[in-house]
Order: sequence, then structure tokens, then C-alpha cells
Amino acid sequence: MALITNTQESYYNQSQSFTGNGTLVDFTLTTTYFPTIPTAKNKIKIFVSGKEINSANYNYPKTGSTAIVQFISNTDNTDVLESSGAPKNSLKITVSEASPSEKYGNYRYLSLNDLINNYMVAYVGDGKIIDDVKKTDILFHSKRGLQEFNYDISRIEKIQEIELGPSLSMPMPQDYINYVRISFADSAGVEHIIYPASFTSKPSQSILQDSDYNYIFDTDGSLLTGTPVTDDRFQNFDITRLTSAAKDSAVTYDADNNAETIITPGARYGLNPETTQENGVFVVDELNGKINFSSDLASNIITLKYISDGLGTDDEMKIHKLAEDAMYKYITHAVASTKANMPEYVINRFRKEKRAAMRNAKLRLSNIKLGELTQIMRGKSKFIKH
Amino acid sequence: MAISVDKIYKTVLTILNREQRGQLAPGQFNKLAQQAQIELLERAYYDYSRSLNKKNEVGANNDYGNMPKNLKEKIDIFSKDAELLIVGIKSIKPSIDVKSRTGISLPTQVTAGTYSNLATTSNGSGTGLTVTVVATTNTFSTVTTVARGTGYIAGDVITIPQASMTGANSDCTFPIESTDLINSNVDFPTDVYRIINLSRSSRSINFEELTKSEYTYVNSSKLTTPSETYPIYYRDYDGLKINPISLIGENLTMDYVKIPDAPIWNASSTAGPYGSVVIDTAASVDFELHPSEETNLIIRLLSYIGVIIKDPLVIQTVQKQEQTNFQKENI
Repeated sequence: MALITNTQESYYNQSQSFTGNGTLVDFTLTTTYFPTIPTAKNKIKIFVSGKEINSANYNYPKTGSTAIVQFISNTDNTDVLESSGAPKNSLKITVSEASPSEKYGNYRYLSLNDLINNYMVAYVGDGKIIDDVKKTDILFHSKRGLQEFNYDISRIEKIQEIELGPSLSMPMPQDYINYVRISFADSAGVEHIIYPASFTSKPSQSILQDSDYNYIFDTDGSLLTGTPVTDDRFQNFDITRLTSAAKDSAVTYDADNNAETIITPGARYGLNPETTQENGVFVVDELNGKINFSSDLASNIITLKYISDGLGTDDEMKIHKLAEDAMYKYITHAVASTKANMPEYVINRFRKEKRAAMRNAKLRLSNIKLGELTQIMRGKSKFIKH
Repeated sequence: MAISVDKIYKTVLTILNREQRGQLAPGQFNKLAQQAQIELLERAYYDYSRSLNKKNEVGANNDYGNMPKNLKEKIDIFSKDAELLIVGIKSIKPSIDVKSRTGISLPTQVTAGTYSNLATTSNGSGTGLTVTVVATTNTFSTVTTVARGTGYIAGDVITIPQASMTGANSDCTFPIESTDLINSNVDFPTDVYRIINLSRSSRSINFEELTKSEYTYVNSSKLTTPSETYPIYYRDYDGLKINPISLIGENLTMDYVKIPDAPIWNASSTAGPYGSVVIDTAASVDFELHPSEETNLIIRLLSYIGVIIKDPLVIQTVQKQEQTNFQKENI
């Protein structure tokens, strides 16, 4: 059986078409056209012969997964609907989603359910690699595999964009595992990478002390803590002192040389490449799950590219087809290595297969295209010609 | 695919009579027949397992020599499936005879009609039972369960409010009896011998069978928590317990091996040739075993009969024959 089961109209338009005969008033929507049947009347639009139909002219009763468009009148649509509401003979009726709910490009992926079912069919059973295993075990290993693949192989990066407020802090996204890149977008929408600050940190505790620098304790014996001073100081810090950027006040016009010149020579002596940039810096507060930025980034548009583990929502639980085989190999090795009495040489064989398949998947998903690579290299070297 | 009970009975009698070892009454034969049939079915499991292990060790033969396949056939002929409703634990069975039970209190007046899907209340912790009442004028014909509810125990008193039945002059109350209750999530078919598999959604989703101890761990891990896509079940004294409970109200398909129907040899009231006793085929039940089990069935029956007629020679002969067969199978 072919893998594509829905129609092209269903995919591109997320709509279903019928032809009127002048008397038929009921039209049933099917999952062949709508993978998710629209839930309510306000989720659909109906066109007859290209003209949008007044929503008062039809009902949309939905019971379970069965939904019917029922034409009932022809107010304002007498040119395409009969008085009974039935679309006129031979006219094309198109029912489409008001805002398409399905994402495009899902063919690239295999759902976790399909993956597990495929695995159970092909790898588990009498006379196969794994004679018997619980589906729960496969579920566990495939989810763990999905996590590992998301960390190392998958190309899915999530991107959050916020305008940085005066707190100079951004909470980690709900499904955040680690950042890939943090940048700010300038007025042209071009992203400028923001680098992590290795020269400061976010203390998780600021211990209160008395005038003799002794720790202060609560009545129950626990330490009293306050707001970290390091954090305050960093937020109020003049970042140009670190980046060695010349301030406006340090620049003056030198009439003798007919050019602008810096009047504080020596300030840029001995530049540290790590800090010699004006994009700002950030500090990750791992304990509280926040990302803090330097003060020069206030009111900027920050984009956070991060990876998740692919298990946050049911929709995310899918594997790219280019990594499908690697996932089967991953599960096989995981099951074999946790199974009693499995010969070590068999486990080793599975491990090698897994590593080779994962390397292959990573290479495929790295999306290295010869044409693109050549174009990039042209900018770097004159040796590459057509 | 059945084995004629008449043929087996006559063969057994022939062997016994040839050796002048006595007679076997049909009643005695019937009692032994089912025992022998179940024993051979159970033995088929062991034989199947042994043949699989052997196949894994020394390889498989194709076609007629494929012993695992041949042995599986012996079990397959008993496999069945059933569509079952998943219900709440301690719910009420679908067709309970309420009207004639002790302790029921019915209104003496009611308007004729069908009162569908009436909500009930209980003096216990059970909830959700709805019933349909059919009444003729001032008489209740039937009270049947619609939604089975959950959490009921024997002794709970169910009340159908007076207001829900037109013309009723009082509430209708009746007690729950232990036989009304389904203590698990599934009302088992009565002929289940062994469960093969549970599935749902037109057999597209299998239920995973877990042990009770595994269930706790599986349930507590977020990676393996049972869901409607990965449902599980475990078995206990009460029957099957299913998770997640959101599946209550849906159907599942149970594939199972059924208990063989008990073979019966019944004599006809009409005498046969020369006044002989002949079988009443309409009132008799054949063996359901695979035809290849015919010889084994006779041997098994003879070994039981040897005990009945107190003849050690029969038992020894049969045991020897069985041993020979076993050795042949394991070559």
C-alpha cells in the first residue's frame, strides 16, 4: 500500500470538493480530505462556484468523527444556491478549513507509533533478532532514542523571539533542553549572535552577613539570603569597559588629519577576542531556569534557538525518515544490551551497526549540499571555479 | 475439523471388547472424554513450545516438516475472538434480573411506557448506573442496565426516582447482589481457556500484558505511562484490569483460546440394526480436537479407562505407546 493516502487537494488546500445536483443539501466531510475534521462551523468556509457562502445558509452538525455540511437556505447566495439551500446543478462546492490546522511536509517524518509498530513487525518474534520483548520496553527505548537523536542528530531547532524587558531576563522555554544560539535582531532583521559571558555568573545564593562578615542565620538555623550583588553589579555594568568599544565622548574630530580620532589611546590595547564585540552577553541561570542578558540588550528583540528532547507534545514524537534506520538499530542495541543471556558478540555487532547508522543519519541530516558548499567556498577561496 | 465422538466411542469399545476387558457406559465415556480432550489441548502447548525451542537450536523444516506450524494448527482451531465493552471496575452487568429479586420495592402505580436511560442514586459509593424501565399500566415489565456505572458493591440499594417515571406513586428501589457485579474492566466470555491478545481500534492497537509488579513501575515512568495508544492490562483474581481508565466505554477485541465444548455421546431412543444402541447425533457433541489427535485421544481415553476397569495391563500398554510416540516426535 502506498504511503500517501489523502488527496493532493486535501494536502495543499485542506479542503474537500463536491458537485451539486440542485437537490442534494447534505455533504459529509471525510478524513481522506481532513486528517483532523474541523470541530465547529466557525472553523470552515464554504465556496460554491468560487463564491463564499453566507454562514447562515448552512449548518454543521458534527457527531464523533462524522461531520456534515447541511445547506438550509440561500440568503444572499441565490445565484449559486436553490431556494432549499441545495447548491445548483453542476456547481463545484468546496469546503475548506478557515485556518488550515495541518502542517505541511509531514511526509518527511515517521510517527513514534508507526516506528514502534514497524519495529515490532520486523524485528520481534520467533526466529527474529529479538524473540520476545514487551512493547512497553520498545516504547521506553524508542522514546529514549528520540531524545538522543534530538540532541545529536535531528535538525529541529525551536526558536523563540521576545522583546527583552527591563528585568534583562528571559525564562527558559517550557521544553528547553539547551540553547543552540542566542542572538538579537537588528532593524533589518539580521541576527547578531550573543555570546555567553564566561567572566561573570549568577550566584544561586547571596548569603547575608553581619558587620563582622559572619553569616546570619534564621531562628530555625537556616542561612539568611538576599539578592546576589554580582547580578546587580553586572546589570549596571558599562559593557563598553569590557568590549573596549570607543564611547562617543572618546571620539573627536582631528582637523589636522581631517578624520575622527580616539582621544583615549591605549584603551583598546591588548584586545581580548572573546569580549571584543558589541552584541552583548548572556548568563544562564541554571538553577532558576532563566537567561540573563547584559544591560545594553534592553528593549532588543532576542531570538533564542534551542533544542528540546522531542517528547514535549504528541505532535513532536516523530523521527525523520533519514534517521529511521538508525532508530531501529538504536532500539535493537538497547534491547539486546538489556536482555539477559544475550551473547556479547551479538551486542557488539548491534553496537557497531547502531554507530554506523547514527553516523550516516547525522551526515544525511547535516544537510550538506554540494552546490551550497561550493558557493560558500567560493567566497573564501578563488581556487574553486565552475 | 472435528473428531466424531461416535467413532471414538466405538473404537474404544472395540479395543476393550476385543481383549474381553469389560464394557464402558456412555455416561462414563462422556466424563472421561472432556478430560482427555483438555489434556491433549494443554499438551499441544508444551509440544509447540518444545518444537519452537528445537527449531531455534537445530533449524526449521519447511512445508510438511514444519512442526511448529503443524502444532500451532492444533491450538488455532480453538481460537476465537470477542468484542467486549470496557467497563468501570465493580460496574453492573448488562442484563440483570431486577424485577423478581428479593428486596425490590416497585411503585404500585405507573403509566405504561418506556422510560429510557434513567439516572439512579445509590446509598453506597457506586455512581453512574442508568437504567431503562419498560412498564405496562401499573406493572413493571423490565428494568435493564444502560450505563453500567462503577464502584458498586453488593448490598448497595439503587433508587430510580419516582419523578423519572410518569404516574409512579413511589421510588423504585432494589439491592445490588454480588452476581450483578463485574469486578474487573471486562466481562469475560465464559469459554475463555487462555487469552492470546487484547486489541482495540479495529485491531490497530494492542494491549500490553504486564505483571502486577511491572505495572507499578510502568505506570510511574513518564516514558512508559499507559495511554490510549499504548494501553496495558494485568490479570488478577477479579479478572482483567485495564489502564488508562479513559478507555472505559470503548470496545476491545479479545483473541483467546476457548475451552473445548464437552464431547457427549448420547444414545438414540430408536434402536439400530438388530436392536443395537446407536448414537443420537442431534443430542451428541463431537470432539473439537484436530483430526491428527485421534490416535492420541484413544490412547488417553484407554489409559483412564484402564484405571476404571482396574486393569494395569491396559495402563502399561498405553503408557508404552505414549512413550513411543513421544520419542518419535523428538527425533
